Amino acid sequence: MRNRGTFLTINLVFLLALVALSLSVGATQIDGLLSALLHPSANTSAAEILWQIRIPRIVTALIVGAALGVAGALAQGATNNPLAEPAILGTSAGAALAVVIGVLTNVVVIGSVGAMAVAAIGALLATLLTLRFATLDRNVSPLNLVIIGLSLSATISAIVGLLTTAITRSDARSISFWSFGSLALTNSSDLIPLLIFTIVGIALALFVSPKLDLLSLGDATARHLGIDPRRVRRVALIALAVLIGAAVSTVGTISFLGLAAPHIARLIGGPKHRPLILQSALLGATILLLADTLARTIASPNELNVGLFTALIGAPILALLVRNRQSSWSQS
Amino acid sequence: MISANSIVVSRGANPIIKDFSAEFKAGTITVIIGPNGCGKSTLLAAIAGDLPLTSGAVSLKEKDLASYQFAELAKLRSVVLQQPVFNLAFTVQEVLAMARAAGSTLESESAAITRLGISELVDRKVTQLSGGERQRVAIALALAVDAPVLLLDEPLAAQDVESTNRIIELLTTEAKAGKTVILVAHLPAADLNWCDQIIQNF
Repeated sequence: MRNRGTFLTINLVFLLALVALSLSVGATQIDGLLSALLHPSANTSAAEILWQIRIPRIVTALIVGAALGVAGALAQGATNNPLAEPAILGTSAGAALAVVIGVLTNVVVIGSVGAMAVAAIGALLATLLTLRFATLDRNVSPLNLVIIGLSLSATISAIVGLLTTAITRSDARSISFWSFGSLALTNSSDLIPLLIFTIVGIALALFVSPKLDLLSLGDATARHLGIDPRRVRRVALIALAVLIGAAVSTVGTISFLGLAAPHIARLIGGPKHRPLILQSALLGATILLLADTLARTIASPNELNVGLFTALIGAPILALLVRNRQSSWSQS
Repeated sequence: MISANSIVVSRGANPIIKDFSAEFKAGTITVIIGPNGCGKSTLLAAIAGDLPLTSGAVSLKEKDLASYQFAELAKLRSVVLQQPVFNLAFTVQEVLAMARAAGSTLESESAAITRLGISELVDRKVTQLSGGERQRVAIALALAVDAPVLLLDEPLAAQDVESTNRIIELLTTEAKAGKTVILVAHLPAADLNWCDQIIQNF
């Protein structure tokens, strides 16, 4: 695709400008931004705000955005379904339920490595449950997958909602804040595990991506060409669960990004999964940073729900692109 | 090369294929014919190893088909489905390159494209092709692998006269070169003078 290079450049330039903007805006006006940036250990309030609050938050947005973008590409590729995304397959809900149970039983703390691991397991179990229920006669019906995934997601999310509202302990407010999706709770010490989980997830995704291309020819043809579709799907779903586990346990459930990022990336760069995964990561990071910057500045010092902005940015772009160009998915 | 030994295939309690045996020698071309719903596609799928057998066995190179790994089998036999699936908008060229998983090369892919007469389609998206064109892409994909056994489910169904003749000529050439070709077709037996073996009433 000749568009790919141009778009990649534009996206990178925009992302850098966005990072600069995001560094400079916030609830508190920072004087001497550049010097604070260059002297992280300086004993000034500017350096403290920048290095303790804004930079960790920006980095979180970039990592989680990339994770969600790639997770969406994996969900769609593994199920061969353009509507699949972590929020529809039950993946995100499963991760959220696992985190809430872990936190309520005092096993894990939101944002910790333990929470990520627990969330990844919950994400995998819920996704497998959706796939199992949607399988009829050894085949997954595309429509059943979406209906069953949505039903399971709604059921689990309702349980998460009940559990979080029933809590009467001191951290109840932050748990309910987390469950609606927010980057406000991120802690710089959580960034390393978040980064490691995300890198592992994306590396697995890149490893399995050429085989996801073959899955688009259907399971039978993939098998005829020597690929085991079940094994490919298993690897993709594990990568998906690792990414969603890390993202959801850190920032809660963020809607629409996993659906929009890979669709936009595919319309720009074509359906080949290896470049698609990198492009989805870049787009996911860009959209989430933009959304979070808006969420924390528009009604400053109040924080708005970041999911409002991921939907507000991602949904119209997706609708317009799909309307104006041939979708990458077969219409039949 | 490949043989079916008393195979039985059932769906639920009713057998669709009852005790079928046949031998398909290297260098021959076999056509399976019969009315709709008589189990032609099921028979081909069973020979391809896509369906669990109730009893009996298919053997390929004197070895039970079920004992092969997917990757091994892919290099030995290619399959063209009746309705090829193309879910994503890859170009024809990109789809052909997917045969690399089964050992195709750039040369075998271009040769397959030329032989199917789809050179002008290489940059088109597979999702935007007609039924006949998609089927020819699927045949090219199978041909690019260059496996000794070629199984095709109704490869002539959506083709015009020119393409039908081209595909028949191509398949007979493959057989003459030593391959084992088995296909399902809806043609009267009288029009099948180009094949070595006809299977019907099974």
